[in-house]
Amino acid sequence: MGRTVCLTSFELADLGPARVLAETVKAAHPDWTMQAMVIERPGWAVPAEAFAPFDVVTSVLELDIPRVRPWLFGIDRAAIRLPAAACGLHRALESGADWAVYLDANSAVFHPLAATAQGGGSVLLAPQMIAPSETEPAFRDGELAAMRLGIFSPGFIAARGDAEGRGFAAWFDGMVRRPIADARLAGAPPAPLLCNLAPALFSGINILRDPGYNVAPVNICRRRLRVAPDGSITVNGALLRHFQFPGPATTGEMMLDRHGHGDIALYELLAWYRRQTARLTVPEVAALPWSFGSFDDATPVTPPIRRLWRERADLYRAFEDPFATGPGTLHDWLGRERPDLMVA
Amino acid sequence: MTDTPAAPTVPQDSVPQPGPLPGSGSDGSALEPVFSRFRLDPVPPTGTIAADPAPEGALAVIAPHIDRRFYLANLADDAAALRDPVAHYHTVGWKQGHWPNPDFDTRFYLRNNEDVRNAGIDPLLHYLRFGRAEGRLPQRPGGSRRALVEAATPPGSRRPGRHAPAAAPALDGPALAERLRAACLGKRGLVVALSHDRYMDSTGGMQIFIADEQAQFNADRIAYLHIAPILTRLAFAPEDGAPLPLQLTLDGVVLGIVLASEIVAAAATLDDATIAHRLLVVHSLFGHRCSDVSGLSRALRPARNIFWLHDYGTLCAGYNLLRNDVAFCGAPAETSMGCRICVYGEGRAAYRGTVAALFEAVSFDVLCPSEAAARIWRDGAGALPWRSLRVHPNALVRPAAIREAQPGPVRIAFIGYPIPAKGWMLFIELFRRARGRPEFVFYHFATPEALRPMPGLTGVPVRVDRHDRLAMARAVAAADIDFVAMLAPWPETFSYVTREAFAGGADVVALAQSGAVAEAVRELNRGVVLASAADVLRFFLDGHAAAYAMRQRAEGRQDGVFLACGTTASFDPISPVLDPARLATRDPALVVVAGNAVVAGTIAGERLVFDLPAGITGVRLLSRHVVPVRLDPEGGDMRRFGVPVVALELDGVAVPIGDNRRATGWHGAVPADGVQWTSGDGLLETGGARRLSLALADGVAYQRCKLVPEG
Repeated sequence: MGRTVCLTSFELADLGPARVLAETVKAAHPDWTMQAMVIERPGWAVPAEAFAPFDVVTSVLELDIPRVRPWLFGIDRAAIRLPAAACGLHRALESGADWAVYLDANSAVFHPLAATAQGGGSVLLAPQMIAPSETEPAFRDGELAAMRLGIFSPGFIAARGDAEGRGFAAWFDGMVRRPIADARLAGAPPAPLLCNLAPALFSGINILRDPGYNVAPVNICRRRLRVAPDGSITVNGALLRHFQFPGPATTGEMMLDRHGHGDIALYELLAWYRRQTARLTVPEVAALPWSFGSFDDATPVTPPIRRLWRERADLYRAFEDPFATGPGTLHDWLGRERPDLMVA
Repeated sequence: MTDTPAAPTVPQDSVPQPGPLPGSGSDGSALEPVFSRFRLDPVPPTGTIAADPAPEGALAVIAPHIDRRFYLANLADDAAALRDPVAHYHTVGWKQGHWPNPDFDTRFYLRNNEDVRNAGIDPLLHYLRFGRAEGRLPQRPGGSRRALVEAATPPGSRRPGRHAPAAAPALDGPALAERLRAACLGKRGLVVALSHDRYMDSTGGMQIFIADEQAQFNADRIAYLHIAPILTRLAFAPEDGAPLPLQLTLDGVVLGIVLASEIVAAAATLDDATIAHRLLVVHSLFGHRCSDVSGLSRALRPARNIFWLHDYGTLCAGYNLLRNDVAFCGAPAETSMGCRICVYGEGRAAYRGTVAALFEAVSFDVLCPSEAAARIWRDGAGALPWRSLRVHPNALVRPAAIREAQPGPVRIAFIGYPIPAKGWMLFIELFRRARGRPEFVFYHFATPEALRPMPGLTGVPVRVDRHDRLAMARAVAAADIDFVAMLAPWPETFSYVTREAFAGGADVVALAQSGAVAEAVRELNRGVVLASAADVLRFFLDGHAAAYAMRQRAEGRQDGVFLACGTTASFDPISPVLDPARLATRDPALVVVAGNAVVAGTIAGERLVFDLPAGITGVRLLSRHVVPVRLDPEGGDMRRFGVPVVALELDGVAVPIGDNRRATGWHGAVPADGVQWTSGDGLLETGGARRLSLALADGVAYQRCKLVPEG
């Protein structure tokens, strides 16, 4: 197997969880290049050792993305990781990687992600569900959510450096940055929903129906975690490859409670993850405000401002750097035209 | 055998039995035990759900879900609740946070559902009408096991506790060597033993074991030096080269505090002329530094290095192999994912490396108290080198006479410290669900400080220690217990509790994964082994336990007798079977110590003759002790006996029974017997006499240890 780049994208506040991911990837795949795509303005005051064990650390602004600032301005913080990573996937394959693997920063790898070595497809996508829900609550958290948010996991995408894989990566990168003034989509197409189209558009899509991939709160209702006598962790009898962890006191955590069958191995995983994130979190870094969360003068960029930006193509065309402040900027325009959206 | 079986009884005025308990798994089907003394036949569910007149509206919705007995167990003094528990919960009970049944946590539901809390409505009613369909949870999933996982911490992050006598003197190497030389004078050997705490002050199984071991070695005229850390921790002391103070106990008496390096230096001075036979016995490495232990072995040059597998601390710092303190792991490879997510997994490779270095430096004869534990250890030890691995049980119990069992409800007991590793959580879950049922009563036997008082659970204070090894068995017999719930979730290497239960006439309910516990239940055909916690609940809650107890009582209560304690002292390398007969000898191994010299005796007819050096005013008569009868429940006399002296002369003049020259170390004289016993170390004032002759009574069996050669 040739060179594999594994990348994840995150804000500095989530550096701790991202390092947990990087450690687990390195443990399973010591030969992979681990790349951090930091969704922050470059020049952060964080020592390089705080990024260990990442091999490469890049700011999203350093990827030479056309009109990157206007694009970033329109995306909510909660939805920004996968669009940012799409650019990274594309770049990694264009620079000659044999595989580019994206993993969400709030996840961890356990047993090796063997699908990349086993052939069978140029693009690997992991469905959120691989079996129908059996109860009404599970249906609401499962099928219904998948119809709204996409059937494939936004936390795992792998693309091979062949024509099909590069084609998918280029398309995905282009689509997530395509400005669409459509109120129904509210800006660029949501990245997870885009993946729904991929099996129709590309012939080399391999849908991983292995229950060990992408175990997450949304699909735990049909997956049972166990620790086998040999110490391997299994999901429905298959090796656990990749688990997407919810944040504390989040909807995801409630879903694990609701659908997790009371499996003790699940709580062991959660407790382990909390210990690891605590170990690898630098409190000063975790407390840093998101640098794309405010204008250059530190005025917060609120969700209503981002929504307005997505819906007004004229604004998108008019302002090259929506974060800038001073006369003739979006900040100036908002202060005059929509002071109701500005928070001191 | 009794004519009329004493069957479990249910009071005639009891309320009708509710249907199957929620969550108990009860469906009337047969329970399939892993092992059972009696066949467990299907027990049909009894009674109906509703005992009250059919309520209406909201009350009708919640009524089937109010478990009357469960609910009233907490409200025995509440007249309104007793009159109508359904209405009580609906109007008052939920506001007081009471659980309506074992599976609905009122406080949890209100805490996690703000809308319900703000609406001020009956949370059970909301759950049944809406919450359940909406996927809301009736209680925090994962139960007590989840709480254990969340509370688990890596061993390195736990603060060690200080555990040493305040007045213990500090000794250096030369002073220690001097004390040891004096202690070894006239002795047949010296045992140096290590464990994680000072065994004299605790009532745990390992501590009692060590006390037995010390007593047995002392009985064979072998000195016993015990080394324990001052800072107790369930981890090795750091290999940082810093001075490590340890506390020493010699023959059961605190000797002092000595640095580990000074102990090694003192051990190096003990040559064969000082004490011919030396043994090193490791019971636990926790609190010690492995490099110190290997240094001690090099310096002591013992005939054997014994390593006891009281737990699995050589395989993992999680010494009971409970991953995250909750799930038995079987000691997989330290690179496994199971180890990665475990609080004991981090650093396990280095931990095992430290153990391996010790075992490579010291050639251990490994002793294990059960086959079950030996199998696990052999599988998990991997390439760990050892000289031998033998099974030597910690105790031998034989059936005694059958007595009549008492009638009444099924009596269920938990014995010992109320900790998860002993199955306390499952016992309490059973107690919580069954409390209020008239067919059960629950007991907790433990030291007073370990009892956890709660309504419906009878606490029985019992202290088992080296002075009274049979206190628990007597207490179990006195309460006429039917079942001891020994629900350890890990493979215990040995279980005194199980033997105490058998000796007290009770049968034992165990989990299949409990190692030596399940092994003992099978071997002695004295209980039930069940596959899971759910099956344990089913066994009791579905009526199987009552049916079992009826047959058990019909056959009569079978008490047991402790015949022997299996320790290093009772181990025979040639034949490791624990056999009381092998521990006995006719040779008292009597020596006379005069000043700093051991006087060799000669046999003259029926007498032993000792020529004493000049200027000596007193001698000690050192001997073996008689084979102890102290484990015989009928014995009662806990004194130690040495040799029975029937005649004693100094320079040809008789020193009669009761003479004041028979100073300390002599038992009270009974002139009519014509014999006066020593304690094994009798002081005789000789007043400068040069010849001592004495005669001993025949037919006495003495304690011996086969690890130290005769002669």
